[in-house]
Amino acid sequence: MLLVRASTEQVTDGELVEQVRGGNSAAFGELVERHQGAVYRAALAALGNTADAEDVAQEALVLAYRRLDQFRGDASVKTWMVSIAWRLSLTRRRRIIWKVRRMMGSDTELDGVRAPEPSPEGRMQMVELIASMREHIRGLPPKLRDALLLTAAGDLTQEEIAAALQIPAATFRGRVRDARLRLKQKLNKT
Amino acid sequence: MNDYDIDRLIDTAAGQMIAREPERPLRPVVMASIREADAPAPRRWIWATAAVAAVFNAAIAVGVWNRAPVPVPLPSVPARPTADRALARAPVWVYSTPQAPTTGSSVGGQSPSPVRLPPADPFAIEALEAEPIVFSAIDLPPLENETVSIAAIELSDLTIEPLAASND
Repeated sequence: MLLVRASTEQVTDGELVEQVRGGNSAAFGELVERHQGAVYRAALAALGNTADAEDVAQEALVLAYRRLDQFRGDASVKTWMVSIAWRLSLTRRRRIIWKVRRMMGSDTELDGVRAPEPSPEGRMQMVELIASMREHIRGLPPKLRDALLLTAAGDLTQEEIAAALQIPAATFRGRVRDARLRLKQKLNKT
Repeated sequence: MNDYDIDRLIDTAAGQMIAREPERPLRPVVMASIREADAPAPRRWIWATAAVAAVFNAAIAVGVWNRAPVPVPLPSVPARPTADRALARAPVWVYSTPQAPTTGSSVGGQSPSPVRLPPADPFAIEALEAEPIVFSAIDLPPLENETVSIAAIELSDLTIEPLAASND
């Protein structure tokens, strides 16, 4: 463990994976530290609920540890972990109980993540526009909203996200493009 | 607003929606889950093993209980002196005086002294004697070839009479 902490910057993800496979389970903690944010945000993009996102992220990371022998290195460790979190998130999103709870409005929807700072009157209009845009983003079809939010998270490139979602990169780019187009149309209508 | 401004607006709004960190660090929770899953495997199974063993032992006990020999009471023995009743309860003893004297019928005031015989099984089943099965060939008379004689059919000549003129 000391080795892991002392050389955090030098050790690559692949080396950490090898250490874990060699029996040093503490090395997996460093992988968690590095990629928990990306895993969490992927779950948040799919579920829109911070509590569910944390729950799924935790479950995904534990699952990643258990299935580390299945990691072949085709993609980066981060992409692989995000893909696990994404599948778990979609599974949860399909559950009826989750849908019901969402309809009841008992979750903290992707809203007001960052409270608007006190601003001069000249910026009030922009704040209102951003709030309106968040509403429009929430109203997008799930596939388009997922693509837009995962891109906005900035943890992975579009190709990496497409790999994590197990869809062609062109399909993913098309979804992002469609999402932007729909948002522009809605903004023009209002 | 031009397209560029709208794109910036979309990016800002989406970024605000998704730019978050876990409220609590996941590392300790995840590592605790991993340790819990790895380490106490024997501890988790020990209860299951104990439960299975208990059920197994109970099943064996029930089986043994059901197969335990039921004490068979001896055939009722007529009243004997009290001193001999204890002996009469023993299943392996048989008294040589099958008919004990009735009350007050003892001769000379002496109680009958039972003669003990060696232990014998009062319920012994004698072996049945069975005659051995002897196989013998069955002599069957050969079938006779019967010839069925069919009498010749005699056909008489048909005589066709001419139709009557009245056509009746």
